[in-house]
Amino acid sequence: MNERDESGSTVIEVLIAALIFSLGAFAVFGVVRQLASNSALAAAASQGDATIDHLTSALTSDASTALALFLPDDDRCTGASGKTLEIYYEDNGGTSQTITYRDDGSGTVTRSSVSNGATTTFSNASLLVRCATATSIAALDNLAANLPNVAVHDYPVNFGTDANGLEQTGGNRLIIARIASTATRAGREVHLLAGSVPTGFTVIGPQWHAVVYREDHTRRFLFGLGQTSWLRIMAEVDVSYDDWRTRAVWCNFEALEVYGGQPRFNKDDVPVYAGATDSDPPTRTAVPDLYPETLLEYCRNHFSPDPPGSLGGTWGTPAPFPTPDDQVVAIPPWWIWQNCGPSMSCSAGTQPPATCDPERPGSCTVTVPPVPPAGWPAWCQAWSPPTWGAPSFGQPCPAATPPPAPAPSPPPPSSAPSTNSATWTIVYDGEPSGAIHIFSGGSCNSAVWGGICVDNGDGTSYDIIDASGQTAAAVWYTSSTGNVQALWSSDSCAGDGLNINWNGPAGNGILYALDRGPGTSSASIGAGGPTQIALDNPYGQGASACTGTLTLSDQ
Amino acid sequence: MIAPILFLLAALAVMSTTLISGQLSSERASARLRLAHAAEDALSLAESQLLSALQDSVVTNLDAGRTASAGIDGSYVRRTPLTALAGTRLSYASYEQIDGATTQSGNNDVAQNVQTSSLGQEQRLSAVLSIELHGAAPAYALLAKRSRLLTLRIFSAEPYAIVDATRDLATAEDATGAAEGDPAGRPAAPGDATTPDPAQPDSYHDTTIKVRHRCAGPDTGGVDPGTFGYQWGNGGSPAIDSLCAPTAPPWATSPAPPAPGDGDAFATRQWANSNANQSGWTR
Repeated sequence: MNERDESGSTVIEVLIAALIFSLGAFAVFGVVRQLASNSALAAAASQGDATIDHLTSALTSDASTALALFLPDDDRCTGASGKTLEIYYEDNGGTSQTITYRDDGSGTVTRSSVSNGATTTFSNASLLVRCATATSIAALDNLAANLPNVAVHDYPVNFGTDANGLEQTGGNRLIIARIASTATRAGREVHLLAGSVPTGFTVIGPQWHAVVYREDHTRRFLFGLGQTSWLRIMAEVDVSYDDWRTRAVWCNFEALEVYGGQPRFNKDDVPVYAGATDSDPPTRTAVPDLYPETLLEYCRNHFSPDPPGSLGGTWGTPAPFPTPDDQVVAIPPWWIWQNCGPSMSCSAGTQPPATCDPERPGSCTVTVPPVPPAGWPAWCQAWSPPTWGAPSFGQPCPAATPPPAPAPSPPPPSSAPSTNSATWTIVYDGEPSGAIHIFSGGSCNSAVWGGICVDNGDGTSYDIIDASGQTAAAVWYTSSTGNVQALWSSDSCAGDGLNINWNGPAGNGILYALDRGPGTSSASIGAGGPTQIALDNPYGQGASACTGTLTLSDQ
Repeated sequence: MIAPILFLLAALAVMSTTLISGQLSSERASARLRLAHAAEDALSLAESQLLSALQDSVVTNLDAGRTASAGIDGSYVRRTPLTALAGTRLSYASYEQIDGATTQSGNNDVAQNVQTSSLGQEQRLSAVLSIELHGAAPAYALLAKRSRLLTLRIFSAEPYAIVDATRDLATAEDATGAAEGDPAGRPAAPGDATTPDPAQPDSYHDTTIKVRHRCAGPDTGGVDPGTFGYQWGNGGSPAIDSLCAPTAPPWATSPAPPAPGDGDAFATRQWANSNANQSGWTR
């Protein structure tokens, strides 16, 4: 053992060891402190995020059950920012209730509920709200492309006054809420919309009209000694879904009756027809006054509140008090089916609504072909259910029975595909005079008023050949009742397809292709001018020649 | 020397524990937030899908000649399979159940001025919508579950179904029970504007669905003989077609005819909302 070993550590060594230890200890302490700080910061950030999420969920949930959201300081929705948001709603019992969100300016947001007086506090949070109209948001965010067929309205709806006498107005107003954590820099913006939407639209029902007519009865007994005449005034309310192409009796009832040996009554007694009073007033037994509206009301209240076939779908056209959201009842499927057929009407003596009761679905089953039979009117093809015969609500009228299948068409000539053909039917109501103007040659891109043109997809017309075999640049056919036929032909079928262009009064012309499925080849003239319907070339592109028959029906 | 070594080891252990603990805590909080956001997204997606499915069902019913609510009213249950949630490694499944309907008895929701005309076929429904959040594969454990109460209005006109209110079950419920939006249609008051006017936000009150029939007036298509072929008088003169909204003659016994074509059939309906119904299903 040497001297140094016996002496142990020197003072310097001890000092150095102590220094190292101290530095190490400080370093460890510093690291631990930093880690703790980081953890605390992370925890605070998480807590802040959780608070924001909690507040956002509460705001969203409360707003989506509300009738109205508004800023008390900006009830007219000018866009001014505020720190208070009022939420007005009805509770389960129908009582008006209010929830108030308020930023107190010291990093606390409170939610106060009037219903139970409870207050929920969200700490380390701030709230800033402002009102924006729905249209301004749609314009700002350029949402039109994302909202096809949707019109955005700034429709306000007033829900009356609250307990404090404040007007409660909701509707398509958007409240933009900015929520932030005062402990961190985290923030979130949400758009709040009241759950209750202004659904004040009108469903426009089918057309109706009332008819008043009389029945004369004579009772004779005792060889005519006790003759009594009985005069009945009857009322009938009819309904139609298809602009009176077809109609059904909504209800038929006795409105007035007069007894006597020689009962007198004239139509001037009926206020439906304005006229002078009569010295022989009728006995009123049913309807107080024979106005159209009173007849309808009596019909609805005593016999049938809703018209036959009113279970059909609906879609929109203007309303008596028009709003863009108004809806119009469309033609019910049963109605269409029962009135469809080669003649589009039932034979004499049959009444589809009487034998085809829409209130008794499934009373019979109709077997029909899976595709529209040839020869059926284009109107039926377009409006009938996709699967023919289903649903069925009763026995079809005789005229609605599908005709026998047509004989198979002859095979194409051996020179095919040099010659091809296709047949179309056009139900065309574009020319008020009853004339159909078919023209060929030149450009088809802007068909003349009342005119029809066939082209091959590039605007170049096909030749139109009239019944006498003549080709003309413009051929007028006049047909107010029946169909006319024309041949079309072309020396090339190289285009993308076959188009029919036509023009006429907006909304008046409807075009259907007979040899296509219902609904797949139809169009009506729009307000902006000529309209085109594209029919794919059924024989493929590149055929050397095409011919066909164009059947035109002017209605 | 052993004491400093032990001290340093202890300090290292403390440091490591703090580090790991802090990191785990932070990760846990972060994961919970991500799950909460994912659950919100899944709920919104499921709500949108429910609405779309309901609209399709109503259209299908109407096309088939059934009432708008056939097969929906109180008996609609739909469970969707696990679907990947875009932008995450999660998948979700939804469960949708119509609990309350206006044809079922109940005592805590009242709908006034429901349009019961078959042209309107309005119906209010209460529904429960719930989602389950899983990992990317179905075998993964259930990570989160959230539910939402909905009040729906369906009717026979476009858009056929709308969500009138939603309430997240995770949020505060007030003393009078869950508010579920507008359970009642509010008719316009006398003197109200007939259409909404943004310039007069307090002038329009109507949240009802109205029905009107169109008076066609006199039929210009010829003689109307009536159902049984009778005509006016014995001389074959035609029946009398009506004029729409005529002026009342002085001898009229009624003060005025009713509004032209009024087809409204408003009624009050009462039903139980989702909070009160037994769904037989844990939400």
